[in-house]
This record gives sequence, structure tokens and C-alpha cells, in this order.
Amino acid sequence: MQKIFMFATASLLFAAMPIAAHHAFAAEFDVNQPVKVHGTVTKVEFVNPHAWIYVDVKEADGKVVNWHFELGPPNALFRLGWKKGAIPEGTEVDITGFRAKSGEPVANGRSITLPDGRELFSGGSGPGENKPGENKQ
Amino acid sequence: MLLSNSVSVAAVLFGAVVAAGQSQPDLQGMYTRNGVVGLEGQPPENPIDPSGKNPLSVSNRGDGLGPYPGIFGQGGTVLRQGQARQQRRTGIVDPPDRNLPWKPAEDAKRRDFLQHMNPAADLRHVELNARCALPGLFQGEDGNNPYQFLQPPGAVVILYDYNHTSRVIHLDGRPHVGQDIRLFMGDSIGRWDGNTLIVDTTNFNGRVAYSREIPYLSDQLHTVERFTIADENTIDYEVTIDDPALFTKPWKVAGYFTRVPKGVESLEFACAEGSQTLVNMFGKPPERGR
Amino acid sequence: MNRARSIIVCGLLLSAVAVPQTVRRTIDGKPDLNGIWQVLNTAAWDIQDHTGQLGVPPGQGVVEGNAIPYQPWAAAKKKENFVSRATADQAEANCFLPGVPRATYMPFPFEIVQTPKTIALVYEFAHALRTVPMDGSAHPDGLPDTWMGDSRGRWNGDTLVVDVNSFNDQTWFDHAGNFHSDALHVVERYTLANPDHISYEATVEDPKVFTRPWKMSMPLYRRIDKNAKLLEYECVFYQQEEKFKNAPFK
Repeated sequence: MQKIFMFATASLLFAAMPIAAHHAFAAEFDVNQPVKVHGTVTKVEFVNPHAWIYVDVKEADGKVVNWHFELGPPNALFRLGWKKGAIPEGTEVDITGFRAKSGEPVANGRSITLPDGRELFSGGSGPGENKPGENKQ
Repeated sequence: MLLSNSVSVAAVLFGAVVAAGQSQPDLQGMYTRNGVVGLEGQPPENPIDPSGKNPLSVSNRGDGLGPYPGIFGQGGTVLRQGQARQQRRTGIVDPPDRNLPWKPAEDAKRRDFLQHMNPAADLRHVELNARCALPGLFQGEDGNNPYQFLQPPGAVVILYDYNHTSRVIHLDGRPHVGQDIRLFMGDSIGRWDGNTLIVDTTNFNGRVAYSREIPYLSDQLHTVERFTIADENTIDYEVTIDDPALFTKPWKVAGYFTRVPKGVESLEFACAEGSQTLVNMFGKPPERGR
Repeated sequence: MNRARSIIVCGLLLSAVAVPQTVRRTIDGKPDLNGIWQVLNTAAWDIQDHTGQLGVPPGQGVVEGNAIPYQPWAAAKKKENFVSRATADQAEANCFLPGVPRATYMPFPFEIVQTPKTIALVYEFAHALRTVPMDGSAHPDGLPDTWMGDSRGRWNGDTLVVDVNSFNDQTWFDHAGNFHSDALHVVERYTLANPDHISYEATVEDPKVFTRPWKMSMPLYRRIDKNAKLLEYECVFYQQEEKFKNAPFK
């Protein structure tokens, strides 16, 4: 019979679960280049390994730049009840993150808020169920 | 008990098949994997993700300082619903003090290698996970992606959601493939010993990592894994890691698999198709004429 | 394979297609599709009739009637695709997942792993993988678009029928630029013609691109080589080794 050894394994499993362990975030995004943009969603791609949100952002000179924001793995979202099409084109968003080291208009999407202050992907399941500031973990 | 006849019988019974000599204990199903990757007794600093020091470490931090909204790291909560809390052997279990029997020169080399991984000095110093390469036997577990065990006649097949990785482990006692064939996942041959599946794997390509602190094992790596059915929801896992190029003797790692709730299905994890990692790190490669 | 099996084959009942009685059956009475299979055609280059060119072997097509019923805009798009195929065919240019049914006829072996509740299709090319639940479940609602589709399988007599949807629009049917939208729906049929051949059919439907459904069919040949097994064709890795060998670039 297999013995079960009572090791004091840190409950790593339930705490700092590394997401996207398949890539080195710190090597790709520049902590010295924080970004914060306001724009409208042109596309949401629920693709592995990362979902992406594409946002049209009007720069100071009036030019519109389509920013690419990388998010986490979408399979997690799907299992939590988020479905394809949950965020429609044209949705206005504020996004913060850190710019890619390559210098392109690419960044990670650290927080995504709607005009009314609700945070997208803030916990709970599916859109419309999130309340401002609520973070069900 | 060998019958090799194909005489058809015009009977009412349909398609009855009796497979002799191939019965396997049944471990089929979907599982989460736990605890295979662990720290050494005195690990070097992990330059890519030194948690605690790097506010942008790739972790689902409760304080909200992770690189993505926290929910993206929480798919694993669905997989782990209803799982009993377990205390089982995990990480490096032999030697007990977790100080691995490195050849000193090789330990020094790998510590130096780590120093050049963030920023990556060149392609060689990019961790394989960041390249969407096959994960080898140790990587590939990030808490959000289950494993599926299937048992067709004569084989055990392990399918990972992670980067759609698969291992087909034949049980027919065939030899390993020739020495010149090198594989990320190695070449695996298995056999059952009671309730334990023993898997012998060779022909690795010298690129796969054990952990972020041990970024490569050599092509002399030879592993022996033991998957033991502990109870109807749990498989205990132990692997002997024998890499004579890097270590003076073998060492052992343990972990376990736990069944996920009914209804959890495999989801496609397309890795390279969505990856901008190398471009983000290094810039765009020069255009080549085709 | 050196397996010890004793097989008692008993009378076949109503099946849509007659499967010879020499065919091996699994423990749940189904034709045994387990093993390694591969096509011997040139559909990967072009699923229609095509003349040889440098680097492209000639072939008779696998499309029934040899005509693909594109809507007019799509017929023009196919021609554009053909012109830009060296970079626009993501399976060849980037080693991305080839989609369905193209994965079946890439010039690489694949393995059918058959159990009563789940069938897996393991492809050597880019280690592509499909799992096919056989439990009668429906396609899930709101799935993210996928490269290899969401597959649901069932037996129709002795034919394995696999229904596939939830595709993205990123894959092509071949290197010649034949394409689809995210409305693609494929129904595959695998029938064991004899122990070493599967008759394979794929019915393709996409109301955004085609005027009607159309069908491909081809034999799949069992790899009977001694100790045949899938190896690894990790072309993403090989391409990275080449493209980024002088990295960093700034």
C-alpha cells in the first residue's frame, strides 16, 4: 500500500499559482514603461496561450493607434463561465499595463475598467455579474 | 490462450471481443497534477520570476499586482472543486535534504546560464516554455490545465491540455528507438507491476527543463517513472532522474494526480499560434526572401 | 505489434457500411481503429487535381466532383490566397496547427487512440491533438474559437462519425489557399475498409464561404512498419532556431 508521507508542503497549490508559466513576463514587458490608455474595443481574441484585446486609442496628435493588450489564458475564463462574445466591439475601456520591451503599441492588460467603474475580469462568473470593487477569489 | 482464427459466426451476439493478456488496472480519466516541480535545498536565485522581489512576477497574486487581471489565473479553481485536500510527497524527495548531487562544474555552468536568462542573452537562454516547445516530463503544469489518461489496448496515453502535449506509452516490451532519434518528451516504454505503471524513458534531446532553477537536463537523461493508483481519485507519482552528464547519481521527485470533477473537458491550448514572446523579447527578426 | 489477443467475431448487425469480418474489434464491439495511420496522396499541397511543379508533387484531387462551391467573393479570395501562400499559409509558413480535416492529410503519420468513452487523434505534425468525447455530449456553448475545432463523436453502426465546429478562420484546407470562415462545420466519417485501410470522408459546410456542403474522401493507410511510432516534428522550434539565431535584434 502506498504510504502517504506527511510533509509540510506549503499550500503553494492554493496560493500563488503561477499563471502563464509558459512564458517569462518580466522578460517581455518593461516595468519602466507603464501605460494607461482610454479607447474603444475593436476586437477580442480568445486565443491561447493569451487572450488579446485590441483597442483603438486616439493619441494626442489625433492619430488613432490600435493597441494590442495581452491578457491571460482564455481557457481559465471559459471554465469560469466567460463565453465568446462577452465583450462587444465598441466597448469603451480604460486599460493599464506595461509596454512591451519591443516598443510596439503592445502591452499586457493589467486592469480593464468600463466607464462606469466596473472592472472587467474581476472575478465571479461572466459579464454583468461583477460589481465595482468586488473580487471573488 | 491465443486464437488466431477469423471464422465468422453467424450468431446473435454482436461484436463480442475477448482480449487476453492485456488487462490493465484502470486509471483513465481527467486529473490535475500536483507537486512534481520543486526547489533544491539551496536553490540559486531564479532570475526570471524571483517572486517577492519582482512585483511583476508571473503569479496570480492576491494583492492584485500580477500582470493580468487575477481571474485569468483562477481556472484551476474549477478543476480543483471537490478535490480532497491532500498531503502527499511532492518535489524533490531523494536526497531528503534536497541538495542535489551536482557535478560541481555542471552546477556552476547552470548557475551561470541562469544569469543570462533575464534579459535573455540570446535564443539559447530563453526558457523553453516561453518558446512553446514541448515541456518534457516535468514542466507543463501551471495549475489551470488538466491531464487525461487513456488506456487503449496495449498502451497508456497521457494527454496534457498544456500545449496539446501527448505521450503514448507502449506496453509491448518493444526496444527504445535508436540513439540518433532525440525527443523533447523522450521515448517511453511502460509495463504494469500490480497497481503501478512503470515507465522507462530515454532519447531526450538535452533541452528540457526540470524547473526554472534547473533550466536544462542533458541528452543522457534517463528517467523511470512510477504511477501508482493510490485510491480511486489519486495517482501517486515518483520519478527517478538519472542524468550522468550533470549529476553524480540519480535523484527522485514525487507528486500526484487528483481527479477533476465530472464534466471537466479538455480545452484547446494553442501556444505558438498566439505567442509574441520572442518578438517582444528580441524585436522582429529581419525579413528573409522566400 | 506483438499482442496476445483472442478474438471472437460474431455476426455483424445493421451497419450502414459493411465492414469485413476479418476486422478486429475492441472490447465494446467496435471496429478497432487503434494504430498509426497516414495518407498517401498530395492533398496537403492541393486538395483538387493539380499538375506537378517544382516542390509540388502532382495529384488527383480528393474533392468529390473536383469542384469547391465557393461563393463568388470567396472564389476570388482563394485566388489571392494562392498567390500569397508562401507567407499566408500559416501551417506551412509558421508551423501553426493545421485545422481539420487538413491535419488528416498532412504528410505525417497520426495515431488514433480509441477507448469507449474518448477517442484521441494524435498528430505528429506540430504535435497537434484532438480529443473526441464519445459520451453523446453536445458542443459547448460560447467556446473560444479553436484551431482544431471542438469534436464530438458517435458510432453509426461501424462508422465513426465525428462532428466538428467552433473553428477560427485561421486555417486553410491545403497549401493552395482553399479556406473557410469561423462558421466552418466538418463531419468526418472513419470506416475500417479492411484491417489496414480506413475509408475517410470529410463533409465540409460553411455558409459564409460556400454555396453548399461539399465532400472530400481518401483512404488512410495503416503504418505497419515494425514498431511504428509517432516522433516529433517541432517545426515551430526549428523555425525559431533559424529566425532568432542572431537575436537580439535591437
